[in-house]
Amino acid sequence: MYGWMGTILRVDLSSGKIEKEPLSDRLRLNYIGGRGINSRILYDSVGPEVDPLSPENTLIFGTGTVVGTIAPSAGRITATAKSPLTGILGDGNAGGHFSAMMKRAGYDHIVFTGKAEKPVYLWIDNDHVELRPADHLWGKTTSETEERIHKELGDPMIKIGAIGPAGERLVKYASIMFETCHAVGRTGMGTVMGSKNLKAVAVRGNKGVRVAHPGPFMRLAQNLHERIISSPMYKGLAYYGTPYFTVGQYKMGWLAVKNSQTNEWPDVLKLGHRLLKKDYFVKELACTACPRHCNQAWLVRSGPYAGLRGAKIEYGAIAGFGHGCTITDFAAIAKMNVLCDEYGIDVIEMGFALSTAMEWYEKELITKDDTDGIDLSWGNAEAAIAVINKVAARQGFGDLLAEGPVRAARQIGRGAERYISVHSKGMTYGMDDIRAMKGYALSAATSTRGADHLRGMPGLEMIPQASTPEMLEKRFGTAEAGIATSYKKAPLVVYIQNLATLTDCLELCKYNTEFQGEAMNINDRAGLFSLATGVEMDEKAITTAAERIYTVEKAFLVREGMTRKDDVLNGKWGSEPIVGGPCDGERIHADKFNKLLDEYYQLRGWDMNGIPTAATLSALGLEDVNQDIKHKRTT
Amino acid sequence: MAKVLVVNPDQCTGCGACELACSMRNAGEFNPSRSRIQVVSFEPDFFRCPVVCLQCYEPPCAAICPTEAITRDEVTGIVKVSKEKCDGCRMCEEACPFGVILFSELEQKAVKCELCDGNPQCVVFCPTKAVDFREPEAKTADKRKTLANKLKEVYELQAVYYQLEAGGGKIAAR
Repeated sequence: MYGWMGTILRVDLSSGKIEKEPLSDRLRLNYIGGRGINSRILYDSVGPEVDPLSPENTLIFGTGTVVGTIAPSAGRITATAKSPLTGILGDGNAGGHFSAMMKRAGYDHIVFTGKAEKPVYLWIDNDHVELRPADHLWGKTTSETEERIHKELGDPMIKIGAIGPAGERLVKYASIMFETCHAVGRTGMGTVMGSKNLKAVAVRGNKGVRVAHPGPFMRLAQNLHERIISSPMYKGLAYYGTPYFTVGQYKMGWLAVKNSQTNEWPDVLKLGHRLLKKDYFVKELACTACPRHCNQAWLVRSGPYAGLRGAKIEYGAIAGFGHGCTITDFAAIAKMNVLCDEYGIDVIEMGFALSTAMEWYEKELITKDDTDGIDLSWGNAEAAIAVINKVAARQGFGDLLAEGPVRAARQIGRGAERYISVHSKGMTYGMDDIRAMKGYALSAATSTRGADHLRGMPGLEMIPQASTPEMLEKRFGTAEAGIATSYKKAPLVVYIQNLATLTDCLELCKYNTEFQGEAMNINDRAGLFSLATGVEMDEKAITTAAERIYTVEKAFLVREGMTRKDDVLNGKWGSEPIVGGPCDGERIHADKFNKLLDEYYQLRGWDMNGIPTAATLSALGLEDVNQDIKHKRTT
Repeated sequence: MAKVLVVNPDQCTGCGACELACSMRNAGEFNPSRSRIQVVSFEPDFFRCPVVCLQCYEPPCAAICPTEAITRDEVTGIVKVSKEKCDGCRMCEEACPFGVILFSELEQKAVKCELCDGNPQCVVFCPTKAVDFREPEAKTADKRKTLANKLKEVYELQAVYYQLEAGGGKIAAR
């Protein structure tokens, strides 16, 4: 087989049974790979009656159709399950080198069911697969776990994905850490691993990955590598990593400060990329086959955290811990990031849990009695660190915050929920102020995993130099698609969501695509897919596959009872205007947003309640899905 | 003079594109374990180092080969293995001090970097010139220039300070 390796590994943790199953044509040809196949398997395996923390939940790891080849950045992995945080479809996506190793071991997907009686880890060594005891690893941080497994198995080049104590204790937004620094962060996939007593997955593989048309594939890959390197946004990420975004976003008025009480911050340059590069960043590292090498390895040289080192402190962490909480000491933020990596906690959810808690504290919705004596004042890094430690231990105030900001708010009551910057379907967000970016706002509201930035951030509306008015008019119906505050965004958002979906199927990195405003587009996806697998798909056909995948994910949500009322932004950003900065006064206008949502549903082929129509489902070959959800239609 | 592969390990990001390009070009599949260039990783440290055949002037692999299968081309400088003469004894693997001549299980013969007939694919795909293909004098000249530049900075700054001190002035903000 070309492209795919052709095998799904099924591991039932209850019985210990391990089986290998051929990857079916149905899944390959209709759902492409990676997140696409993951989502379909989840849809087929887990219904509304399943508790996410029960043995009946299914956890799926997916590598992508072109992972292991030289397609640029072909090395990401998606983990999918029903989310303990949101109760709906959950997934997270990580980079690094694990995915390519899993592919070379011979597996496209690993499906975990059941729950192990005692802690275990899965060891995959090409054809040899076994569950090994992990009692001695339970309670250990992610890096300790890696080190011990490397020693035990005698090979430091084995790639490992592990949970830390947070996942073990079922913190609702626990992450799966690959190689200690690459996170499947969002939606609590680490929590699901913890609920299954699955501590880690270790893999080694040296099989070859083949493509159907090597010559043309290499020429396309070379062309894409060159396009990425010569694109306008290349240098920013390549030289500074994602911390590059902070100052740029701030200048546009899109940076939410102090739990988005304002978008102005005189201290912003204290966390600016030039300062970080000069004082902290020591080496540029890359994920598999990626020319952009945006992973900044860092070192703290002086102060109380001197000697602390690691990799990948990203914009999300700086936005949450830094601007969100108004903490200006990067070394302290580094410490917080390290704690989250070691405990296995999503830095985005943690960052916004902290900034929301600080606002609750300021407004006296909670006091020192509630916070176990911790003084949660703005900018208090020691307090933030103390809270993170408590969350990982599920102790006192940490036990409450471990439920996620939305549940914690509901438990606190007294109107606490309205201080959350933004949340949708139970997941919070807060990095880029999407009140000023209407396409991004639509994408976050209609994301099939809850409020996020990865389902479809429309870089083309954010980055003026990435487009021309003619190009936008031709492709998305209007030049206003490039104006962040315009509501004329439905075609753009559908395109970017489809592009993101396909990127997640091939398991490439969105930074190398028009998601970031440049380089690879859907046509390139079609080219890579066809040349790698030998299955001919043009842009239209592969776009249909993306539509199918997104619609199945939506159907999962519909089956859980979600409708139009859930495709909404809650919290401050749903109703309040931006305060301060160039976008002062910008807001989500309910009437205009509703009209945009109507247009979006129409393009997607869903009814005005957000439910896929029978006609759409039939056109996508999803008659079985129609049987599941037809009773949800009210019209 | 003939070009050589030049490795600049401080530029290596560990992306592994070189291994993928090499294995596809020379073994027909993407498989780092069949690549003639190998990236050595020092995790959890941040150093990554591509290691590849240096096309020795007096190759130990050629010297030890009992069938005289390994020869060095005088014009290109490339050390090549003759598939016809190689009998798979693996003595070359023993002799090479750098571990850069490999035994191919599939072909049952020794394989090594032969510079892709003058267009090394690892160089084509390396985004940072961690592996480069250039004339050897250019590489060593570059290293001298890097050092000289550093000294230039130091001496220029010293010169400015001396001049200011002599004239009674101080360095002012601009």
